[in-house]
Amino acid sequence: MKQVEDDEILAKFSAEGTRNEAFNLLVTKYQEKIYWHIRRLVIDHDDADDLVQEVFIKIWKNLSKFRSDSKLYTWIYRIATNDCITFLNKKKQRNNIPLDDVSDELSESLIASSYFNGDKIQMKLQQALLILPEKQRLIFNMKYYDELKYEEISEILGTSVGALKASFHIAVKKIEVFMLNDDITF
Amino acid sequence: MKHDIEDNEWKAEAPYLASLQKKNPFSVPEQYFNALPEMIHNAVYVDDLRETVPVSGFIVPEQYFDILQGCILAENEENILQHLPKSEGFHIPDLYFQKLQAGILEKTTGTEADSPVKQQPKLIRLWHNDLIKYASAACFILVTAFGLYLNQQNFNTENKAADIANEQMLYDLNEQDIIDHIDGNNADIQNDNTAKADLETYILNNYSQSDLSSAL
Repeated sequence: MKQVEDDEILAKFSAEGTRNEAFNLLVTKYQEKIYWHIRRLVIDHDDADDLVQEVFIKIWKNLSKFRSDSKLYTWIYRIATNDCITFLNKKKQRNNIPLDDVSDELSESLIASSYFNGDKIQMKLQQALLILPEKQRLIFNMKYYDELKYEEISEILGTSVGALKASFHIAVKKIEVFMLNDDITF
Repeated sequence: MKHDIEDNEWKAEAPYLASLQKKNPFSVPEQYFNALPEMIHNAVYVDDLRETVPVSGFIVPEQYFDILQGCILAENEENILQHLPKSEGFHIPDLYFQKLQAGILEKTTGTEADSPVKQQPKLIRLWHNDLIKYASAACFILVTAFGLYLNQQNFNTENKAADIANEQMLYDLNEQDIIDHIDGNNADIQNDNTAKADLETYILNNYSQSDLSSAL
């Protein structure tokens, strides 16, 4: 199925009569990308399901204010990323754990998840990602899985391209060490 | 071209990671993405509704929340009682419940409980010592004798009362009434004698001597 251009969605959304149709098109186009972006960050399907709905509610409310000084999908990614970070911070506060240490809980969610069908290597890779600081994990996911360009990630996160490259390379090295460590098995 | 070089630089630094097949290990429930648009639309609708109708329409009595606070505080004080030790301070004899169960089962189903404690029949002595035994016998005899004496006295009293009543009645009756009553009884006897004479005459007139002798 041919993907609808973002400009067309925005044009339809600006007209009262075609607003719902435009939103339908937007949901159809971005639901999976947004879901997977959120899912890789929060791990648990139910949490991701709640968050993806919240993100689209925000999009519905604020799309009329969207100015085309950035791309639509980077704007949507930014909303999703911010919601995920807020969610994880709340989770840390709720469980009284240090702000940078939610990895244990996410790791438990990963092991207990009934919606994970990766092999041992995939599990180990996900565990490696969970030991990374949150921002490095975010950058790695966007670069490795979503295959976004540094400029796009920069636009989403509001971080310079140089800083993103450095973070990504540090993350990659940590993951490589973790993966080659035979003592860590799952 | 520049982007490709930049994007692939990490592969030299992490050859093992680069060698892995890039695969999404996560999965979703069946038909999840088919149902997701509808869920999103529903969520958007509910959110709009919440904003459009921010007030539920329910109201509370005046100063309700001030009173509510007082009630909650009072209830909290009551709850303090729940933190007290639950022990009531009562004690029961050793192995009471095992004995109780055995007793109930024996009285209801007639079976003995699997209790390790064998219930011993309790012996209750009727007379704890000889003094009580003799005293009880003496009491019994005294009570019985007194009962009989009372009964006899009661019977004599009743007879005397009846005699006095009869005498009083005779004393109250008119003498002429008594004479009339006696005469009335004699008249009945005379009538009775007349009826017997009539019957005899009838039999002699209507039956022969042989009939009478055969009938007798």
